[in-house]
Amino acid sequence: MKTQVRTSTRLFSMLLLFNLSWVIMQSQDKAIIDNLARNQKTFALVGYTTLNYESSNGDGGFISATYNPIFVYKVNDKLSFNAELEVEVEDSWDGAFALEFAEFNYQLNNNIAVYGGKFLSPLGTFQSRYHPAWINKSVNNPIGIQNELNGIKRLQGDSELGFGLRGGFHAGSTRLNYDVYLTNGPKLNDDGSVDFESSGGDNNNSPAVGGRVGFLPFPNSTFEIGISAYGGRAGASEAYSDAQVTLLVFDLNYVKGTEIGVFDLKGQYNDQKVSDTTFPETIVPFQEFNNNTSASYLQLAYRPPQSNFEIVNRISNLNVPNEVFWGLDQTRYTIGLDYWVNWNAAFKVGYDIINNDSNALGITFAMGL
Amino acid sequence: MMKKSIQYILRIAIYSGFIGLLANCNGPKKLVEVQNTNSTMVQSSTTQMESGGVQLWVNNCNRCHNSPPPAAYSDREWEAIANHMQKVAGLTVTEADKISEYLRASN
Repeated sequence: MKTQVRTSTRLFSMLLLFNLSWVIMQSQDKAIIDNLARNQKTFALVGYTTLNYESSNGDGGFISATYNPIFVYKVNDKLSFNAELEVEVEDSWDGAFALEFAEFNYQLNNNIAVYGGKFLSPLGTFQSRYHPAWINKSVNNPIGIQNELNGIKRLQGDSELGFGLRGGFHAGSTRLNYDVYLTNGPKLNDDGSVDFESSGGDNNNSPAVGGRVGFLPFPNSTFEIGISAYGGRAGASEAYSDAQVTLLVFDLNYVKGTEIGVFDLKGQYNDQKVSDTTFPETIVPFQEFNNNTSASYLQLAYRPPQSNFEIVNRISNLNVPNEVFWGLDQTRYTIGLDYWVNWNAAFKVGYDIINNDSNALGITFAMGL
Repeated sequence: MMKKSIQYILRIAIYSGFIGLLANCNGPKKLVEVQNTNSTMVQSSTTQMESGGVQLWVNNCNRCHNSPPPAAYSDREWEAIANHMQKVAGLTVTEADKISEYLRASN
């Protein structure tokens, strides 16, 4: 009997010791894991990459490869930071390394965030939402809006330096989103063209104001129309110029899934006005003219059900004053076919028919990361 | 009397062993819970949130690009990406949180 009692007591002691040590280990493990979890950043490395081929006038070749890493940090529920780099190499082995955007955000409440830094131009939607190559369904960008080939000026910058407020809210079954910002502003050149990028800083100590309001009338968010406006002094202080630049931009987006496939309609119209009417470096110097420029695009894509193919049609258009050197009226029609090898990767083939330039074939492989 | 004491001690020992085993079983679960922030909370209420989260995910991602599958990124990455996309797409924080919770729960 005594032996049984001794054995039971030993067994009990051993199990008690085991449990105590397990509980201690458990709490230590939890403390270590808690600590690890606390020290892990809420972070994602995303982005996109491309390989581009172009052929025109019988000359063809790979023209560039790009890699755009995007760093996304959520510091806490209020504070976040996002940045994108662009690394590009061209066929001449010339390269580019640029900071596309780097912005902090502070969420004030459910509907308002304050942001600042270098941010993508919020005018319209092409630059702020659709320009990444794996999102842009066409092989190139709309002329005048995000394309500076052949000296054609853009009617908005890629990015701005400044700060702003943005967010979204519901109004009944409809939704609204908004963005209002302050930036260094535009710079007027002697040839009458306008540079929107903030390179070189503010040339007149007069910031520009811009903003966009998007309206989604349907609860399923399939349709969105937006209106953007931008205004600021563009003339340089040393030139004693009070020239003002104003931009009015309209955009639309309609994506509808049906039994016969998905239809995707996107468009944007930029209208730019410069208040000065005479410039020293025009075709006839100091000849008076209305320095108004506009650019637009309309794109329709169609993807049949259960298909990896998508057909893309885009027409883009640029209208510049006849008196200037920095661009010609141009209409470009692009027909394209995309083959999606994954949800985020596509081979895109497009053929450009241009009214006053050579037609061109473009092939791009684009992949989101 | 002695026999009862022995049975009592053995019973405690066995219960104690069970508690130990249970504690052992709880270990890995806690690891997952800590690594995937709030995953337990998310999983327990997945059904309630799916209607809002799925719908918002389908409606809003597709406006600009193909909707990524939930397995495309880790839970922690989804949290950061949803926060970023909220700013790009002009969503409210509540909407972005619902999308993020759906994607993490389905991951």
